[in-house]
Amino acid sequence: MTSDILRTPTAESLSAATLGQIALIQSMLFHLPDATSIFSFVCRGLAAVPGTARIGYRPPPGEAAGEAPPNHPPAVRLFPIYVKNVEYGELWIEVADALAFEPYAPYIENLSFMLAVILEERRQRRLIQAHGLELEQRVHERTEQLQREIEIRARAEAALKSSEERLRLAMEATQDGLWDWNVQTGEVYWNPRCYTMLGYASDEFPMSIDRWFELVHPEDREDAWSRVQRTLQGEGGSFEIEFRYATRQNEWRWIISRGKPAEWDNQGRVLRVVGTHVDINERKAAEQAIAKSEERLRTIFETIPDPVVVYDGQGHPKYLNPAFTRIFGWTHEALKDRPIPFVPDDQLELTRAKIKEVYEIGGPVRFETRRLTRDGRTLDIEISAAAKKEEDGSWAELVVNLTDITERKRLAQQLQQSQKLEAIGTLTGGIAHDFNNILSIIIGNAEIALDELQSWHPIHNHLEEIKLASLRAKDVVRQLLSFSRKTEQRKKPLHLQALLEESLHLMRATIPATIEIRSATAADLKTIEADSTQIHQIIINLCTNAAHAMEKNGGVLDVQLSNVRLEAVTAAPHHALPPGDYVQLRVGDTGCGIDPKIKDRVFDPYFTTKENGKGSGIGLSVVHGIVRNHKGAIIIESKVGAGTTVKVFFPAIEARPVKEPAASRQLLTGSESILLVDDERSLVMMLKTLLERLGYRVTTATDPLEALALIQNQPERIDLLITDMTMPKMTGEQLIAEALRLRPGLPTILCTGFSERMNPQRAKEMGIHLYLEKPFRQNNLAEAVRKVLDGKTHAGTPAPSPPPFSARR
Amino acid sequence: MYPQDAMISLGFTNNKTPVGTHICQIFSDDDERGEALLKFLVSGLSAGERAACFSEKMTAQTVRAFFAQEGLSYERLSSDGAFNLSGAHEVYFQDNRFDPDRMLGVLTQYYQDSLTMGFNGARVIGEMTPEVQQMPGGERLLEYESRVSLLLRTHPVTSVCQYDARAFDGATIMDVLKVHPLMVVRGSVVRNPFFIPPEEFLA
Repeated sequence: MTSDILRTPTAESLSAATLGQIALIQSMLFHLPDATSIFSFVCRGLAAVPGTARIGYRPPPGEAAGEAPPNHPPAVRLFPIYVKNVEYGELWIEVADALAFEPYAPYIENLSFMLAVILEERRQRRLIQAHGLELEQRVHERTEQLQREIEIRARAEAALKSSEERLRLAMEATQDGLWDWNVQTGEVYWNPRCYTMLGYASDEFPMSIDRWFELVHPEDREDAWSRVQRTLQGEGGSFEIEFRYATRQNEWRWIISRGKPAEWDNQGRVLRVVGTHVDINERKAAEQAIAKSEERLRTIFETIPDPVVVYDGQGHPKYLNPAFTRIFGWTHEALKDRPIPFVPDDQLELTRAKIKEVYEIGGPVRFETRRLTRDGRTLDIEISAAAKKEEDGSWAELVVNLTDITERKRLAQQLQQSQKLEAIGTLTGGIAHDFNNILSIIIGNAEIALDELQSWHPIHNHLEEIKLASLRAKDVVRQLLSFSRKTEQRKKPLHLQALLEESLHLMRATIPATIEIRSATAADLKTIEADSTQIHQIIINLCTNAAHAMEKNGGVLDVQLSNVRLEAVTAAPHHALPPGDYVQLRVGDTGCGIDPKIKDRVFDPYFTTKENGKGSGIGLSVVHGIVRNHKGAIIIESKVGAGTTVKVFFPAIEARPVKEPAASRQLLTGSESILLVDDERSLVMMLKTLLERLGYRVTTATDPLEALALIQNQPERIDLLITDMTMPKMTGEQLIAEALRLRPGLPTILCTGFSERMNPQRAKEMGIHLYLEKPFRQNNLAEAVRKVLDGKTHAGTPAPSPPPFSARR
Repeated sequence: MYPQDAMISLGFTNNKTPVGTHICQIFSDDDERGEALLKFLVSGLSAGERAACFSEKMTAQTVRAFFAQEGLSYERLSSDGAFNLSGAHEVYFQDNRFDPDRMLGVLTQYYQDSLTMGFNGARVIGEMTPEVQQMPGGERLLEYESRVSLLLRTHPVTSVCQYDARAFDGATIMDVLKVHPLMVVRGSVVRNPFFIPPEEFLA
């Protein structure tokens, strides 16, 4: 073995076949795909090298372990595989025959180097490939990215182009101007529309920021420039300013300029601002017109006397005009957007229904209702409401006009009352004449019959009842005529105490004993100007009503006279009596009271709650009429079950009262010759009897022409002419006129059932000495005849008015 | 019929080789392999030989196109029995096993038929697939290759065995080289210094 090792290898000892194998291995390496395959190929191939026992490959440290070489170095040859300091492990060959092997060692070293070269080349190729792949990938990615960017840019450019095109079209369509301001140089670009908008030629002057100042209205400059400056300083981003530009026609035109910074320097300073101009002149004009219109409307609202409320869409009051505050007392501040608490409970349903109606038809809707003032008064209100819609169809606001018709309604009611009374008066006047004639006959004949009978006679009481009933009928007619103002008033200063006492004296005789009468009169009671007969009527009527209210259970009739001073506030509830001094007649009872439902109707003529025969239903109407004629007022306070109090107010005066003459209690008689004329035969006969019973000689005539003939034939035989007013062929006036023509100074008495044509002034003008209203009683007639014959009257004197029948009971 | 010592063209190399040569082509590039295969076939067919190709990768369409370029009719050659294209699997692994004896019989029969059919000679090019290593009988691959070298001495079918260096490990490639007397290196047919004669190899 040792000798083999020591043998020196020679070139001759090299096998061409072995060298070919090594060369072939070298040539085939490039086909093999990886190091593993290569080294297994190489190791398998080199095993054919002479002297080789085993062969293996050990990869470099850090890589998967290969086959380790045997641990006896002298027999192992290592062939490192490296190039340029890059190691690829090593081939190890356990040499069995060094002498045989060594000649091939250099070739194996060379193969090892080739292996290193191939592996390095492949590594480099892989690296290059990897780099190439990475580069390719990067290129690919970048290409894709660029393609995307290009596409995005293309789309953006297309979009921009489209956008610009749309903007251009929009600008053309909207007629808006475009501007571009270089903040640094002050140069401003205006597109043609900016110029033409103001009437300039599109290139009439170069635009600049200085020129801008010149064109803007002086009043608008500061505000506009301030807004621009704020934008330049970075506040608010964009701006929108309305200002006026001077036009070429030296007018001012409203423009809205919208601008936005478009370019900044590194410090964030704005270099460029772009924007638009929109002509808003017409809009401004419209706004100003609306503002003026609103101002006018507000002025109207502020000045009209009617209250106006404007509610918002939610029903909250958003405006109250001064008239509303003046009349209702509410202010907008006091309400604080709360609903106005002025709808009475009984008006809620009506109000809701009407509001619904307004919203259904839009308005205007009118209706009458009532509303409460802040201090609790109830007012009659006429409402006119209309709703206004928003553009989207929703309801914007409700405008409500409230007219206070409290006074108007009161006047209307009064007018209605007056018209009723007028109608009744006309009717009454029409029948009064005939009715009074009939009553005269009945009363006269009853009195004649009563005079003929002794008081014990069974018929006497019946006749007395006939007379009383007739006098009551006469009183009814009189009241009718009175309340319809058909009777002549004879007002004079009057002290009511005596009249009250006389009236109560009479009442005591007519009302049940279960009713206590109390009266009181103020010691310093003031005087009033009044017709005593009518005041008497008032007292009797009120006391009669009070007595009727207490008829079942009795009670207290309390009548008082007092002085009252009404101030402005306290006078108001009394039917608007002017402030001042009044005499108050107060009639109170403790009776059943008045049902609130009928309280408003008690003054209506012929309205009565009394049973038949107890009242005509005109009593309170008469009272009302009389009080009104005396410029007074009447108030009724009543509570069901607790009684009623009627207060009548008469204006007090300073004059002293005129005393009434005392009525004659004895029948006056005479013997003179009297011509009695009346077309009513019964009446003529009755009066003839009365006069003859007084001692007079009586000639009668039922035809005025016949009477005139008697006067003409024997004028000296007639001492007195008594004639009816209304007769066929000739009226009483005409007869008297003819008689006075035949015999001047002839005493005359004109009797009238009722005639609107006759009054004291007219009677005086006609030379009539006295006129006597039918029906009259015997003593009235006796007194009148005697007065005329004794020359105690002058023409036009009316006969003393007899008291109502009750006074004679 | 070629004379015993006739030199023929392989088509993919300029130098001529003796008829009935057993050649190994180690390849790592499909184009290189395909080009060599087609040129080998065309060369033989053009010389009046009968040719067969056992490959999984070569398609009739590719062969037809290549033949057409060379003025040959794929269909006519196929119908005349001059050319046969078969799948490697179909030929080598009948019944899913590798049977060297059967394969040697196929080669023997192929050569005899070629003579009978009047061809000048016969040539075969086949691509051994790596699945042979898992096939029953696959361990006899080197035996088969070595016996082919013996068979060709009496049945001179010029044979080219193609091995994909990417599909077989390096040691196997080296072993395959040892049973092929000639090999293709860088486009040239060279004597294989690793060749072990069949008598020695099979001994």
